[in-house]
Amino acid sequence: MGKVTLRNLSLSIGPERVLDDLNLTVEQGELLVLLGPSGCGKSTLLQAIAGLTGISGGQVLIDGRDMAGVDPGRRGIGMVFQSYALYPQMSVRGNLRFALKNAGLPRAEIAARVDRVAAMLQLDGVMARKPSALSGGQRQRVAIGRALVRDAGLLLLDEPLSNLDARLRNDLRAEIRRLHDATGRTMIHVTHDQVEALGLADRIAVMQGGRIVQVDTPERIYRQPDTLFVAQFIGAPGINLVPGQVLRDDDGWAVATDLGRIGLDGPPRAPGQVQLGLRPEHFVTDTQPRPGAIRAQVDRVEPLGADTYLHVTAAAQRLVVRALSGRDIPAPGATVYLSPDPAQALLFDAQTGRRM
Amino acid sequence: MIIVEHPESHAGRGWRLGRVVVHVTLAVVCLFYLLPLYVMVVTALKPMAEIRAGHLLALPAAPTLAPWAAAWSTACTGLSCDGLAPGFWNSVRILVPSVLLSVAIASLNGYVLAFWRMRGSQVLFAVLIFGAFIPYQVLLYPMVMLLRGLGIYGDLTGLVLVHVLLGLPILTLLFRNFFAGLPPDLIHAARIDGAGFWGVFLRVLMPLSAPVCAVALMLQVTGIWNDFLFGIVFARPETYPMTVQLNNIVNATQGVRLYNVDMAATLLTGLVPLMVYVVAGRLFLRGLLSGAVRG
Amino acid sequence: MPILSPGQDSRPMPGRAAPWAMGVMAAMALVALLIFVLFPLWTVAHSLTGSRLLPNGPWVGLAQYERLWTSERWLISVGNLAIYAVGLLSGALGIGAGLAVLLDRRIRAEGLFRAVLLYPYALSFVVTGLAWQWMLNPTFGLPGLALLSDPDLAIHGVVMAGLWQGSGIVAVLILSGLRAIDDDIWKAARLDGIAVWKTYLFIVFPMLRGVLATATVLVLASAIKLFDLVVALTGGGPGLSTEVPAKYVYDMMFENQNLGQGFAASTMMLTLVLVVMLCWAVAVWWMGRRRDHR
Repeated sequence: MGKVTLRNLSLSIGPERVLDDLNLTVEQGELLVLLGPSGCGKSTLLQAIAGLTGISGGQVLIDGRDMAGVDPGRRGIGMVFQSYALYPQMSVRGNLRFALKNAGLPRAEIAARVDRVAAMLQLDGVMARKPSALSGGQRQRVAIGRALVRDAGLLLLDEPLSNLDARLRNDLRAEIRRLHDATGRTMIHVTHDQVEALGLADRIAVMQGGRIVQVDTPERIYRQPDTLFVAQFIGAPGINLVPGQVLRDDDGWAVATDLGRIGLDGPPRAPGQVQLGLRPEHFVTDTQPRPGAIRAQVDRVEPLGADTYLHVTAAAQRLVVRALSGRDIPAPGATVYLSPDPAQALLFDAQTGRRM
Repeated sequence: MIIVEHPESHAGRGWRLGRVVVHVTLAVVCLFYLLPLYVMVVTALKPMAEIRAGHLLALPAAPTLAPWAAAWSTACTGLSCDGLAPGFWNSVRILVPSVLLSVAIASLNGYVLAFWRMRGSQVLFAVLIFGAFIPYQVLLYPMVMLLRGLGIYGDLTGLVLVHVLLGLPILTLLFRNFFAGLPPDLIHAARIDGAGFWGVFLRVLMPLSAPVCAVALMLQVTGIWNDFLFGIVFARPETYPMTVQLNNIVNATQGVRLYNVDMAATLLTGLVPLMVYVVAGRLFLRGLLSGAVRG
Repeated sequence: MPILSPGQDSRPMPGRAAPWAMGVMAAMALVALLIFVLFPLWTVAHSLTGSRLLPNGPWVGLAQYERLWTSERWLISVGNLAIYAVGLLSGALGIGAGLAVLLDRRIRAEGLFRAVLLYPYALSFVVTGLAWQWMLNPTFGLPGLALLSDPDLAIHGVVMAGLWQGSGIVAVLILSGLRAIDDDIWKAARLDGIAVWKTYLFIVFPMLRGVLATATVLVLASAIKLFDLVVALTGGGPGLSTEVPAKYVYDMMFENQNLGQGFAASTMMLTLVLVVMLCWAVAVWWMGRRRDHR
């Protein structure tokens, strides 16, 4: 139950292609996160899967069945909305049982299911309240409960955590993962928050301009982004990009940049103009000169709790690097020496933006 | 002295003289607004002799309810001398079905227009705006022909039909704007929960529509009760609504004018909308101020 | 005004609800087309005939309009409508704005004041007309205010009654606009040391363009319909001094058995409304464009 297949899915509104020839399979029981900046079409895609918006071409299949012309209420899905969209005039109980009443279930069955979901989400104490009398976290749990109560195999979550404060967001993120693992349902979770995506997903589908640009595990999305866009979108602070030219000299393959020669581990697929991508943690930072190290000046120190990041300038190029923990943190104005880790360096074709 | 900052205290802190001036000005203006009501009431309570003595503003020396009884049951229109009562009952029989039908139909129309957009709905929207402002004079004669064709010209049913049809544009736009202002996800959630066309409308939307329904009811009750034009065009003497009956009593009588009876009749006609206003005006204002009309 | 804006997107709602929606839509469209498009067209077409008692007269071209625009009564009617519209618009907006500002000053018993200002709006124009007819009665009425017996002044009596009935609702509309203005605007103005009256005049009222446009359209639409107030208050007299177009139409159609004239006069009223609506649409479009440019 709950396997989703998209085949050449397209949606145009006027001249604008909101969804552009999407192909994707979400396996049964998987938690897939749709990640992308606002306006990339991720919420529209979710609505297309739910049947809340028409599509211009292609197919949506749920459990192998073409959903064309199938009403949203009959697709076997539950959905959680960013604004919660609880029915304001109904109590929590009323919200939870609305779908079951529409489905014409017997009274006893409805009560049993509602009580089970309420217990699972710790809503027992507030069943008689109206949504306006609930806290943000409680409203969100009712919204999730309303999606769960139908026992649908597929759960669609449209930025469900974006209206909550940071702490509650972390709690509920863990709760969603726990619910997923406990119920075994397929979930498609939309977000623009890459931390949320990395922490939650089995796989992440990154969207850009109505297209899916990469579908992979969080680990691979972070370590091996297919394109410059994905590399830049994932990671905070963001990846450092340095333009350069691939060359081969006596010491082997390297990239010539304004920062100097940066050695590579192995031969790249092709020579030419590249963007060299290095994440902040892919530098060793030292206050003493080291052979081959890049000399840089510290502009700003950003302590983020567990890690401290240095904003530095080297050869007119701004970089962000992670300071090694357990060492003295340099002060602004100090000189540091950066040694990039060649094994971690990512090379992107300067023309196409694709990883080489 | 410590002045506690109220979040909305942009208006008048301190500056006592200014606040007195504001209140006095408002009070004087309100007296002007209340003056006609006061004059009507005292006139309707005076015997004719007292009125002829002048002193429009004087309180009645010997208050009497006789003019009210006359206005209700015996005042003459030039055709008959049955007072306002027949007009009152005609107005009630026009009002109730017209209001209920027009609100029911308009809310359904507004719902379809707001959520189920389809080809031509933009054109229909434009036609409705046009219909909300059209001078009824260009519709009068074709409407007469329509009612004649249906065999209900001059009947109360015909008047109900006219009120329902011509009230639809503004009410439909009112409901459409209210519904269009609701979060679309609410409708999406209901659709996912398996509610169909009627489920969304009756179970999710209508229970949320109290403010806009109050505005619609208020508009229709006062609008239909106060109508004069349709009454005079589409009714016949036996089916005249109260306003037409009132105008005939006051303006179409020959001979000596009984000002106290006239004013009692006028007050009686104004009583229904005034009562509605007193009872439901709060709801109406809340709906109005909450933006139900502004969309 | 936002009543005009046709909503966010035009994606259809797919699924099993569509047939019902289409049914309702089709019924609504048929009725609307019949009543608000065909009926007016029929009237306009028959204004080109010489119809008298029945709408079956011969084609006469624009003769009805020639007769209309040379008729003394029609010219007086149009002039009176202009006086009434200008008087009602300037009066209602002026009084309404003043009252709204006073009500906005965090006064005591605001609800009571508001109720008193608004109650005349709940009354029928017939009631208003008869009440003022009595108030302005030349023999027994308010001294010095016998407007209605003087042909030169009578139309101003009509304006006065109209203002009594309609200025309260304009005040409440403007008040709702004032209340919708973010209080931070007021805080910023006070921090900048701007006097209260200057804040209203140069900051707040310019922000109320939308509400003022709405009020203007509502007032003008009600002015054009002016009929029952005149019938009840003056009956069009003394002489022809308070005749108005809507009454001209009614009298031609249903009293004088001159349908062709009635149709022509009502077509002129329709034209007038269309012109007002066109100006309004242009103003809305222009305001929207300026907002987009900023």
